[in-house]
Amino acid sequence: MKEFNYIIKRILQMIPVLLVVTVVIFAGMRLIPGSPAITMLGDHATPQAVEEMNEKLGLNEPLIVQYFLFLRQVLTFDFGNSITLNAPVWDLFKEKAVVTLTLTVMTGLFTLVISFLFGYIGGISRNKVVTKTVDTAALIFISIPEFWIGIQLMMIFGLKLGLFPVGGWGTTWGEHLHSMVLPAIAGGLGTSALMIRNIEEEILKIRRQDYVDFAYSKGLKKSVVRNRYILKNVMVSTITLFSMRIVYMFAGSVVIETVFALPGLGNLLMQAILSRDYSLVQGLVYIFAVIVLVMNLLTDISYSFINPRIKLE
Amino acid sequence: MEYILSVKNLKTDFVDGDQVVHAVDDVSFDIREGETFGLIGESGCGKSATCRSLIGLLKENGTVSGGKVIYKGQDITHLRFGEMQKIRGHEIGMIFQEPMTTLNPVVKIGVQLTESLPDTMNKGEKRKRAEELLRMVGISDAAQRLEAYPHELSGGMRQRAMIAIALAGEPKLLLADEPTTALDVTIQDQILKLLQRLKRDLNMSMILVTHDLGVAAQVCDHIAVMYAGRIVEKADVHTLFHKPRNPYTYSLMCSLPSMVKKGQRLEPIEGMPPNLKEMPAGCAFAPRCRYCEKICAEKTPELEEIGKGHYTRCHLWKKLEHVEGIVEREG
Repeated sequence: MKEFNYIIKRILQMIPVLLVVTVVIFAGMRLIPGSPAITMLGDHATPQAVEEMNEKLGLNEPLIVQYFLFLRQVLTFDFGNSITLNAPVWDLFKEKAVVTLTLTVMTGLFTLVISFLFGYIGGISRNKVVTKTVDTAALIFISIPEFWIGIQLMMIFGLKLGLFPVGGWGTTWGEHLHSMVLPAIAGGLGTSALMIRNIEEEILKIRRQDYVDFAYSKGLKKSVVRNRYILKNVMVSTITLFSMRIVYMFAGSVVIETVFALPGLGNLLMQAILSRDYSLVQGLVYIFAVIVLVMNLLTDISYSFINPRIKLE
Repeated sequence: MEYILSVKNLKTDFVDGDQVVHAVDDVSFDIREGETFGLIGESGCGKSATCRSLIGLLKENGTVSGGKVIYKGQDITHLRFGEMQKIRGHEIGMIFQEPMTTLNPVVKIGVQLTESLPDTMNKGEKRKRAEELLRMVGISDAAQRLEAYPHELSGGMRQRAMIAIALAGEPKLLLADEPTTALDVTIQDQILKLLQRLKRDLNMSMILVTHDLGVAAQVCDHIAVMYAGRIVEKADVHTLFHKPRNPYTYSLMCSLPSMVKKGQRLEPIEGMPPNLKEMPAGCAFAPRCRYCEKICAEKTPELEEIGKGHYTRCHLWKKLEHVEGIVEREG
């Protein structure tokens, strides 16, 4: 019951946040120079043509009216049609979401495997050389921007070795997954490096805790102490970092999708911004905001499962 | 005489930066079967390091650099990990000072209790045994507590749970490292009585590390007083409290309200224990000692036997011969 109240409370708290989001997107879009009419009609369009197009798109209404029209769309979850693509925003979102979702899941999986593997090795090893090597490698990958890693991966594994496609998303699920390998690595290395450092530090800290000494003093096997005492406690802080980063991965798909020419939400949003497609940008950013808020809520709920000291209240 | 544990010339070093610190320096003592042996002294004098050295549970920068620990005739000083795990918990158990940090915060009490039970028991038997252990340490609603996480228990309850967990492997010797220090005075007494009862009922021997002379007087059979990593006086509890022959032991007693005679002033020990990195020449206690003479600053005293089973490390112990009748008052 407490849990239920907590969730309701959190959902109610989202409302003001989302209202602020609508104002920011709306104002932001109108502040960038250029207009959808000119983009659609080209630089040589006559002033009348532009005027007619503005009329048709409803852009001649006062801004405040336009804002409330947008707000009505938001409240009814009907985001209207894209100005430039002539299709409902919601349908465009659904179509592209598959790509971005697949990318996020694959990036997340890659990150989890890599970071726990190397973080664990670096943290548990008493060999200074091993720890230093893992540390240094992690520091390097934290510092390299992901688009650059993406380009390097494309050159080596795409062009030179021909193992993976350098762009696009294919048509079958086999091709989809195949084409996601390089983007997932490019998008996940930075986060992996961050998490490796975090896991390593946590293990070093937890290894010195009294409860680990107590566990050894009970005559437990090394594997039990490592799994039940060290790893389980490492999870508590690491999962916080991971969930923050997975939201970032989803929202930050723009860069990777652009580099690898993946037809996902990031790519769609990029096009929409370049063509000043007001309704599409507004709709997409709003949906992104909702998704981020929901993911944050899910994360907070998941904490209470991993860390029994946290109560949902 | 049958000894369950013999410690011979134990030395433990800690590496601190580029310096090596002798936290435990040439410490020897024997534990008889069924007795409670007290290691007492101020904090930082090497009591805990001694205790942890016995079962190889030193922090990462510490090593046993010399001497022997002999448990039931077996040298366990430098056992391999796998061999040591057979001793730990099942022969020699240990309880720690801070119940708050000694239990795994993300695992239920029940799991922490059952994990060191033998694999020959099935799930139901383990559960039953776990409940039994909790009841044994005075936790009444045992079945319910098995499902609790450490943070859901009070401080005293956690300490009881920790004791139950340490006893799950049925150790014959229990190392209790300041088991009551982190607790309220009323709870301290309960836990102390509990430990004494368990020791008797389960036929255990115990090493009690404490800085509290009152506690030591109450439960110990033999006591070793430590100062700056060395034993400075060692005797049975009666001799130690009635005929202290080391100025440090005597000073400790004079600073304790429950130890001095009515009407006598309490006398705190001036100064601080020496920094182990910069040990003074001669006797380590000399700078704080009220009996100090020239020889004390020049020559390090040896531990000498001055009566049957009574050892002291002092050049001038004869000066203390008049000291007698330190009154132990109950409570």
